[in-house]
Amino acid sequence: MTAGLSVGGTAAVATEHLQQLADRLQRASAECHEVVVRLQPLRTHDSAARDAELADVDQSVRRVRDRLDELSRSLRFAVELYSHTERAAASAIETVMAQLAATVGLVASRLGLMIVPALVNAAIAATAVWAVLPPQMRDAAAHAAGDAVDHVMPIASDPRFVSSLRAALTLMDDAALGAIGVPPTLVAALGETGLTVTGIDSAALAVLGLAALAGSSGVDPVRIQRAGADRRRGEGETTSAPPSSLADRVGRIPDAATPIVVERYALRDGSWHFEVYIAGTDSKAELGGDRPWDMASNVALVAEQDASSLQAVRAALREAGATGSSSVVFTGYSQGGAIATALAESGHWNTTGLVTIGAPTGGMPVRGNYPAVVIEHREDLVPVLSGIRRETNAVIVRGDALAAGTPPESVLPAHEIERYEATAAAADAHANATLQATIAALPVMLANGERTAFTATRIGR
Amino acid sequence: MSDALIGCPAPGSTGDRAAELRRQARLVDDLFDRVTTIRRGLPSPGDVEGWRGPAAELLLNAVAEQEAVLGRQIYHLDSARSNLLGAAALADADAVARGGMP
Repeated sequence: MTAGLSVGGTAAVATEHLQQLADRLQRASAECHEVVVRLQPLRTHDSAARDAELADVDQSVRRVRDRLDELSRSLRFAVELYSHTERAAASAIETVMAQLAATVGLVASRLGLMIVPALVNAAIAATAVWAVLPPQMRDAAAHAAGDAVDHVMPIASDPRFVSSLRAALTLMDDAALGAIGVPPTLVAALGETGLTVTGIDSAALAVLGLAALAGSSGVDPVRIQRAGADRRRGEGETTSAPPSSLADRVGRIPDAATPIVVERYALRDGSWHFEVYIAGTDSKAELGGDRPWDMASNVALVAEQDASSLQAVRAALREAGATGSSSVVFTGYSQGGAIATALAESGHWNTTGLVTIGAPTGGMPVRGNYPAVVIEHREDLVPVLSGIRRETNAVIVRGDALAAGTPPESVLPAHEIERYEATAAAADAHANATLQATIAALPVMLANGERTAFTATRIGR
Repeated sequence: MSDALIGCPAPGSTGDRAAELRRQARLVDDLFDRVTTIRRGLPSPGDVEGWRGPAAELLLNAVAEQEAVLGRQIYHLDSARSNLLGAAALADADAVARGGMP
């Protein structure tokens, strides 16, 4: 189910409606112009009164045409103004919140020094009590804990909670700086709203550093291989029809077993166009293990580092024959969306399109001159992991994946790829002119191409 | 724009005068329908729900003004159509009086 689909730029959710009004007024103005054109030959000099009446209609409809055109243009200007104002307001609020977070961090760290000994004592006491509990009581306690999780799950899928979490994660680094004693005003100046010296990517970088110290690295090198094929015998490639829509592209995103699929289409000038589809995080992958679509790569991506999974997709594209001048459309889900955005923005490819679904790309602005569509569910926790979305050229499509009041059937129901496929289909059918122009600007191939799936294995250093 | 609409000759004094006036009445009728459709398609207060404030009011007032202007033009077009049909009927009567075919 996909309801409440909205389309916009960084902050244009509320302005989409105004954009539609502007389009309506523009159409009415164009229709008035058509009436003016058709009116002119009707004055026959046969009846002065009738000619005067038609001349009056002509002048009036001309004025209405011009006025409606002015109103439409003013409304478009207002839409831009609203978006700018919203961004400025969000930035101002974030500055204040950063100072507040730093203050809370400072107080909490000092308070923590005092209460940690008490907490340690409490934990030791709880462990001791657990050890002496009879098995029936332990089971009852575990059951109660399970019930608590069931109560928490619907909250985790509430759009208001998800939105708050996005803000909270953005402020996490500010609180950390406050905790180590950096003055709150300086924290705001250093953070996302100021010099951007710190941010969620620097927090992720710190996590990555700690993980590396613990022995699991998300940036280790990888080896890729064509899936189910002996390359020497030319196997591993199948024929693929060109993608025809957003939903079609989303439907081609592979699962974690073969996380990369590359399609290659011949262009008339003899060059190749590539479509690459990138899977989301492998939930069964061990952290820092040999499967690169793991959480370690996720953290490395948010920290804007050369994640293992990112290296794998780059290698797969080269293996498929792509060069720096090749036209490439990147399509990715979740972690795959972050990889797609990083590669599209890297400047190493001739990016001709980007489609991401449920991707943690808030801190990864899209600035390139190519059609880009970012699809998110309001109840999906994953896109918020990278914090508040920064300014982007991409068209943001936000939809509701879950019916109001329906209890979730899984931990992250709004992140399921099947639901994103439905949202992508709704986006294909959406009337928004900007979205439709962006979809139409994605490359269209006329002949079938070759499809190759790749597996990837992380190699320890 | 259709070629048929370019250059309406002045109705002549022969028997085709009434036919020409009727053709023009049909063209005016088409314009009447077009302007009526434009007027109906303009945004109404219900279309800007969720957008409040002086800017929204200004827009609605401006659109309402254009709606009123178009309403008057619909009246004028209706009047011109009736005038053309009346003139066509007179031309028919004139032709009969002169011994021609209506």
